[in-house]
Amino acid sequence: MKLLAKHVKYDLLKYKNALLAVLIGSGVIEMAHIIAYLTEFKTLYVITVIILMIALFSAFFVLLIYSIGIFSIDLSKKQGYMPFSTPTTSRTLIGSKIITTLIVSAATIVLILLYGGIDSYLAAREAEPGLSLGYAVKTILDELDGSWGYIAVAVINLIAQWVCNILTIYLALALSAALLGESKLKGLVSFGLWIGVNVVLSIISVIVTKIFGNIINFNVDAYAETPAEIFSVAFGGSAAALAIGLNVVVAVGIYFLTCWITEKKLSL
Amino acid sequence: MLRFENVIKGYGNKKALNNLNVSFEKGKVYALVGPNGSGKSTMMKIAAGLVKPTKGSCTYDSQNIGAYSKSKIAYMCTEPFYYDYMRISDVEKYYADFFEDFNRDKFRNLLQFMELDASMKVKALSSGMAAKLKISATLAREAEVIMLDEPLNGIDLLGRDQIINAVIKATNPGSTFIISSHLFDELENIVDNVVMVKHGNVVLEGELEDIRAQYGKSISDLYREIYGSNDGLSNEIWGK
Repeated sequence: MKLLAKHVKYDLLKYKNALLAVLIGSGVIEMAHIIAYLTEFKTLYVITVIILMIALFSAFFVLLIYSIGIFSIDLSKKQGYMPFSTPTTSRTLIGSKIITTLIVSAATIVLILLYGGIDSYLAAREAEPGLSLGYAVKTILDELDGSWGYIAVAVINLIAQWVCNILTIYLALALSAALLGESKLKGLVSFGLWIGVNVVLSIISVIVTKIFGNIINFNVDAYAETPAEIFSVAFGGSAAALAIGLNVVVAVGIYFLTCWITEKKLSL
Repeated sequence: MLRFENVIKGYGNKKALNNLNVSFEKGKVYALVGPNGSGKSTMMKIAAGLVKPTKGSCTYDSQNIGAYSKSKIAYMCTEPFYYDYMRISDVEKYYADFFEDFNRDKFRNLLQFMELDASMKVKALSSGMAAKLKISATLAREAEVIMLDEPLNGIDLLGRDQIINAVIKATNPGSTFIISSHLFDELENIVDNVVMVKHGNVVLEGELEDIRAQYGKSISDLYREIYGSNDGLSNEIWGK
């Protein structure tokens, strides 16, 4: 665990400049948006919120591509000697990459939710000038009552799918690096392998859903009044639970396959 | 002991190592000698766990190369490989974080000896300074096996003296040193064993004094005989 934490630390350091750029850039746009609200500069108010949302959503995907690029560099350039020469197993190295990608993605999502929340509150105050922040938050929580199960299942399913997708890309990169070494076709082959793996996973998903969907009668109602009821209700009967289970099983399988290829077959 | 057994490593149609069999014993200083493309770097990278053999096995203390061997083997490669964002002080922290045998005081002393400043950015270093940094970081590890791949490449005359002196100071009865170099003349005084590699195989190995006594020649002369001509073979060497 200590080694994993250290690798996560050094992997996160590679994102330092990119994350700073996102933080500072989005901060400046948000400040401009708030100033526009306070000074009632309508044009700037509208433009800044559009730019901010485009920028943050783009940053989310750019950082994902950046994380894939970092993994690719570690497999193909001499800088990969740094992590791979440490007394660490491939399981730890790849685990570190996944955790780092999740942290960076989560950081971007937190920014989106934070700025989205602030901007939504400001927009609500446009309609109701006396609206307090506490009342606005209470109203939202009241609306979410009874939906916590759906939200939890959706979020967990999203994370499981996200990890599965990232691992699929890592598998394709590791496989092409192991097969082709430093060949210039490696990028193209990685892409082809990624599509191939996704096709296979889709077929497996359809087959499993057909088999288990017929055996067990799933109740799609994930009603839960409070967050505490999520696990007793939401996972008791939900079609999404099968999707989560499948994603987890596939992710674990791909993770270990990628680790095996990296440990036994990959030459830097 | 570091052991290569029937190791073959192919890159496409070319075999970098061709059924290589050699062992490196504890506490000795080896010169790994051979021209470009003879397989020296590939051997070291396999021992460091960075390259996987196509066939055969490389073991350390009877265990396959992996996390255990990486904790015992320090490897300095020819190419620069530190992260671009790092300063020399960051390199120190990195090594201290991952290698229990890394001695920070020794590293700082070596930096001072090599005239490097810890605040310098890695990407701003000249090739000679980058080489000195790599050597300092590797020698600061009190590892059981220390492998230096072409440590004198691209270094000026005074720098080479600094590096050789640093290697001499770092050698101890507990550690095995494997040093590859074209500049064998400069290493001859600090090594006790030599391993000569050609076309991915060992053509000559043994203790320096024994080889000199057996062939009546210096290692440098033997090097010229083995690698110097197209035939590259002396009847004397091959016992004909």
